[in-house]
Amino acid sequence: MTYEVESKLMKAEEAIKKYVDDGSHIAMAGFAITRNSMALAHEIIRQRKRNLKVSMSIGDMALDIMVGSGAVNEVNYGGGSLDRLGPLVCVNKAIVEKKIKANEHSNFSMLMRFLGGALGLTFVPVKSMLYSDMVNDLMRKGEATEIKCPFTNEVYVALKTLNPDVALIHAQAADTDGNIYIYGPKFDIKEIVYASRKVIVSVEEIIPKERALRDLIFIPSYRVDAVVLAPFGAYPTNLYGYYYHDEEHIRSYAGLQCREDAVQKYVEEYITSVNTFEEFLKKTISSDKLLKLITLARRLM
Amino acid sequence: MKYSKEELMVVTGAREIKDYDKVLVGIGLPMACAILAKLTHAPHSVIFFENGVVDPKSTDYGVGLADLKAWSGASYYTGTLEVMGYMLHGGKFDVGFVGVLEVDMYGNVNSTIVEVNGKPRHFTGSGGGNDIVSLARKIIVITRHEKRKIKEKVFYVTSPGYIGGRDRREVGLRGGDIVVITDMAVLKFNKNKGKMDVVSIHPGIKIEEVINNTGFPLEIPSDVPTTPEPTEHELKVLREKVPATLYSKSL
Repeated sequence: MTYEVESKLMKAEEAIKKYVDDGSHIAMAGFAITRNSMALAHEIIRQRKRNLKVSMSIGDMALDIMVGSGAVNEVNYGGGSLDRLGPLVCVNKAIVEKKIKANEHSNFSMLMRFLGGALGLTFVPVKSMLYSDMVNDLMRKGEATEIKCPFTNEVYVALKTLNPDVALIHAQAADTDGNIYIYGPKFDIKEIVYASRKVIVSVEEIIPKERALRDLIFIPSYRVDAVVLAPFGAYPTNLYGYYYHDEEHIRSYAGLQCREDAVQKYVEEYITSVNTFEEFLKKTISSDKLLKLITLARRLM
Repeated sequence: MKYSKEELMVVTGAREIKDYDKVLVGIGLPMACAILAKLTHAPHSVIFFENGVVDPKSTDYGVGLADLKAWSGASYYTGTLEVMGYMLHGGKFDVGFVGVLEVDMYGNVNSTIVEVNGKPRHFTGSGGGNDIVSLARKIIVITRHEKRKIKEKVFYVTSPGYIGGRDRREVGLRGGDIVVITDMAVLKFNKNKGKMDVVSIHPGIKIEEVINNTGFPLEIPSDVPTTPEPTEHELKVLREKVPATLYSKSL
């Protein structure tokens, strides 16, 4: 018996080769140290993609390491950190040293740029960012302008909408029909998925499609171009219901402070010297520790 | 009953929350304020995180909004659009808390970039901060009271205060009053003076201390009110039910 999901099931290597080119515009939906598309980000770095533009509402570790590895030359984001485990060391450094073009927004403004793109609109009005230095900067770059409501004359920030080439999402599960399930808070996943031209979803597991599940489908299969089976694909960040983050690993990453040689060493040790994300997991984390992270995440559901 | 300055800040912040209020918080001291309010005078208030976590009940908040410990016991998981869009942009948040690198005499907030030893250093950026300050009905800013944090002019405006010293609604903002709670005093915007002004000084703090630690000129009358002390009940609930890790090192 064959399942529908098989037609789009592929390895991370194949999915990134097929859908991400040098210069592609990528959207991601991780948030600080949770639900990062880490398996897919590693693959992008391994394939040495260059000049990528990344858009995301809240910057995360996947974005930071992509910037640190030199894959990215432009970022649209709404701020970000590794929560209290550290700042986005490479993003912050690249902004100050002007190594990347960075367009700073608020969280909701980014979300609206995706929502507008999903709806096929060319701009969206928001009340956020009025009178901020972010909007001054975006106006200079032609990404935003101030407008007045044609009916009430009220002032708004008008933002250009976004239609990224490809969305990278990490989800808990796909079913055998290829539908995607997102457990826990949903962030901006739906808006990103519908704004982007192609959608790659890495998943922890593939579950049997059952009629009772149809109310829980978050992304329908027809919106998904590639499903990548990637257990622990958000590691070392956490995934609701599946595993807690690896505090030690993230802290030591942040501790590198994006010093050039240290980041190069990190990328080489954990990403480019291995062939797959599974190999990275095997050399990075013991099964004992993994079990602890899983147990803790289950307890916190 | 004796209390620490952090405990006083938590209680003062909690008192800004009314029963049935919808409250948008970040992790740390604001979270402690929201939990204390819920356990004392505002049992029907509801706590939200910007990423879609609603009404979390954990006793260990871990390292931030992305920590599974902080979400534990949530009664509802939704997305950013519902919390930051339908709720916040739709004008339904009564109170929003924000952390800051700097705040200035017009209530402008900086959480993006500051100069350290003459060099720019980039921090978190807005996140939901700008949205909260632009759109919540009341905004609570929590900060240490230091000259370098409470300034005449912020280095970068992440979130706007009282533009040109005017009423925020007149210039098209939907956000309401900005209340700054520090470890020395409570400040609010004074329309007549056109800048932030002290509304009360915490017990035991001298007027000169506040003036000397503020980066813009303040005129504080000698009969300035004292911030009300925490009640025994508030302190008891705070110590027994609110994890100290949330606020003891928050500043």
